[in-house]
Amino acid sequence: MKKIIIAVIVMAIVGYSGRVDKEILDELDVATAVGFDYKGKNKIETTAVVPVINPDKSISNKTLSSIDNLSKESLVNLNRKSPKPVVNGKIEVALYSKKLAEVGLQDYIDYIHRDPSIGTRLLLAVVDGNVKKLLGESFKEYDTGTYIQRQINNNIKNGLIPKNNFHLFLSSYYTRGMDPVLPIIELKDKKINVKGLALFKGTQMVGSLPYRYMFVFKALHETIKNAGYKLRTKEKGKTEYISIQGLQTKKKFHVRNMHTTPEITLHLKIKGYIREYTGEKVTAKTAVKAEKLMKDKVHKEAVSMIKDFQRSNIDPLSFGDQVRSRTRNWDGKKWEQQYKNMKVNVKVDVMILEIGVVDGL
Amino acid sequence: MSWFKKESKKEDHSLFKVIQHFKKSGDFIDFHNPQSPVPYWISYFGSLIDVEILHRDILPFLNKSSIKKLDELKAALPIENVTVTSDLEVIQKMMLTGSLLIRFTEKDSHGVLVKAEMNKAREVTIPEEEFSVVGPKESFVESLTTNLNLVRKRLPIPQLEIREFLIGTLSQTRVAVIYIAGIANEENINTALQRVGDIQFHQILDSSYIAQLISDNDNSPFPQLIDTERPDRAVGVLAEGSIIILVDGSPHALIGPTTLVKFFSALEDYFLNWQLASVLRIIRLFAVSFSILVSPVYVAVLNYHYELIPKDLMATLVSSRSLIPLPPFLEALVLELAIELLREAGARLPTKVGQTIGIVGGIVIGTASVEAGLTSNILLIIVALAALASFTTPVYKMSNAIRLIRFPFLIFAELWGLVGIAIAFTFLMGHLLRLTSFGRPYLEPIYPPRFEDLKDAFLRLPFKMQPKRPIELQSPDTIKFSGKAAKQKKDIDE
Repeated sequence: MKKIIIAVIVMAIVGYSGRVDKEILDELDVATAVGFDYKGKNKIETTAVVPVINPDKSISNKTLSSIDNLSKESLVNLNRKSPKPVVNGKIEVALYSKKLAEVGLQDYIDYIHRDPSIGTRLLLAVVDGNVKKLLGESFKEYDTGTYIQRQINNNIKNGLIPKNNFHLFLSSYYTRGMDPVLPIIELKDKKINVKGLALFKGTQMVGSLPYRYMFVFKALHETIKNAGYKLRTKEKGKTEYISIQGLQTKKKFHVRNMHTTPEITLHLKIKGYIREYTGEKVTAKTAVKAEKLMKDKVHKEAVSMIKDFQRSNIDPLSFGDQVRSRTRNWDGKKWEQQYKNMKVNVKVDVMILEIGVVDGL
Repeated sequence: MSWFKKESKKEDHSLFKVIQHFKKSGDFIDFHNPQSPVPYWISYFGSLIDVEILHRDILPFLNKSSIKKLDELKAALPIENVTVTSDLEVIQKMMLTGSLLIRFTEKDSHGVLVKAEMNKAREVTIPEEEFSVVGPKESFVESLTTNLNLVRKRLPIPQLEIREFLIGTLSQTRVAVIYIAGIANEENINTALQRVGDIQFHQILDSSYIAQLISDNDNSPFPQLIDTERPDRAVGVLAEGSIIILVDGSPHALIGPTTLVKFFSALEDYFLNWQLASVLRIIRLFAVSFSILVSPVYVAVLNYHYELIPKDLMATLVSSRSLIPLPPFLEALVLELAIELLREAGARLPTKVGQTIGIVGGIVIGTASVEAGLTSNILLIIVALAALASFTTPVYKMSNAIRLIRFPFLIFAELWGLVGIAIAFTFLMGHLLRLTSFGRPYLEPIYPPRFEDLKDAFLRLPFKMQPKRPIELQSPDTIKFSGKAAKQKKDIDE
């Protein structure tokens, strides 16, 4: 009896006072995307997208924004403008304006990093243009946050954006000999367009890569499972185009002389098949020609891209990490000096596997 | 019978007085035949006596002139249960349990007691609660004699021991404890015999009275003895070393010692091949955990953990809940109670009306409450599925327990979300770990972990792989059959 009484008292005390704050799903404004615009020194405008789900299951958007010094502070301030508490546990995308990225994302990433309710699968992107305007746009099928997240994910899986999320961003930020990249998106004709890649030094954006180089970049950055590539060729004085699809790439690093003057050789293997040709007939010759064309083009792009990276002293292809992982007692400072003048060889192998179900090779 | 003793102590203590007292009852017959060669008095309760036995086996012998003494009559009657006695207490007891008394003089202090009990029992029918498509279709009935016959004929061995008790100061119910000597553990037998023998109660109407009176922890919502209406199941566990208890007037046998997992095994599992049986068992165990956890998880997630909801589901959840005035906990509670109401109403009403209740409850209340915006349709699906899942448990009492423990889980989920569910689960586990059945651990193949017993717990592995009796029952004769011999025989056939 005594036990029961004690149990009841403990339960009553704990049950009465030991309660967690409730966050009932339908009484929350669950933000799906946040965006940050640069508004002068130490001032940012935070915009949150909240999908409003109507009883008939249609979704409309609501954006809330506020100008503040700190990102978390402004997210708290958003609550003032909303009838329901704004929560950030379901944020899918965080967008930063190009200007803010050029100033540095350190302060604005910190809060995402600290909040345990935000997952590290969150996607980050740099926006060329006004973030608030982009987030204010509504897309029919999904709410804006989900739409952007789906589009970026689709581009990662089937397109040319390198695999990217908050976790990988932090990882490449903290890893020595590695610099993060983020996709750049823009609002174009009421649609979201992937414009290129933002190249970072630490958390500061120092340059960008246009979309046309993204195939080569992704091939050197990771393995591509499925992508397309366009070649231009001249045949009988006419400009013809060859489309190569189903591209699969594999890369391999070879590092030599890591203790003295490291030299990196990148082996890139590309496999694909011809799916479209504007010329007369695809023959074995065309395939061989396409192979050579592609090899040359990829090689040229890769070499110039790496040169560019070395010139601006950034390492998004993680050469430093490759060398570090092969060297005992790796010296980061020494590496930084070596990197600029390091020799990087690129070897490209292209294989056209098939030309489609018309006349054989 | 103390009420009777006290009265007779005051009065003149004679057989005649006893008969006079009995005569106050309308169904008591005291019949005198002066015309027969030896005049006799015959007295009995008309409501307890099989008249056919009286006419066929008793009266012809009374009309013979050769019989003049009670002992001679006893020898002549073709009935095995005949006693000549003057012990009033025995006479009273026997007459009240279906014997008739024959005297040759009215004031004789001696009489012959002849057992001529009327055995009006239900026919052995198809089991209703534990119906199985495959396998025998006999079920226990209310008559202990019939039930014992159903058991005995399946186990024609001398080691089958049946110990009978008379329990209930008023009801004098026959309770039989059955086990196979040499297979059942001595300690288990003693526990069962002692507990049954020690019962102090006035009336035993059903075997569930016994189950409640002898269970290890009567504050637990979990039944600690399986009750079955299938004689084949009872015999099956007897052969493993369990003890069964049969009660006169109850069509349910009690099985002990038992474990939690056994409540989720249906007898049909042994009639199907092992792969199918194992899948069915896993489905059942999944259904149980689903039934207990699904509505608490709904409440917890909607109250505290919106982050856990997949974003594709969020629109569905929010839109179904947006017009509902109740918080998730009350919503779930209302629906759970509604389902319980339906079940209770369906169980109390005759079958035909019960069907109507099902339609009214399922279609009218369900659809209307969603349309009226009182409950969300997702929760309706969840609760209905959970109720359905709880009925997959083969033992009815266990499915009741499962439906009951869902409510504390709901409260904990409301208080602390998923952490609360974890706390409730910890309490549940603590309780189950402490629980015993006839002194044997209730959560057995899991804790204490016994790999051998897992072969017939969550899965039902082939018979060939189970040559031993379950460790849990601590049988002195551990080997069911020789596993090696079973394998060898197969080799020869090849």
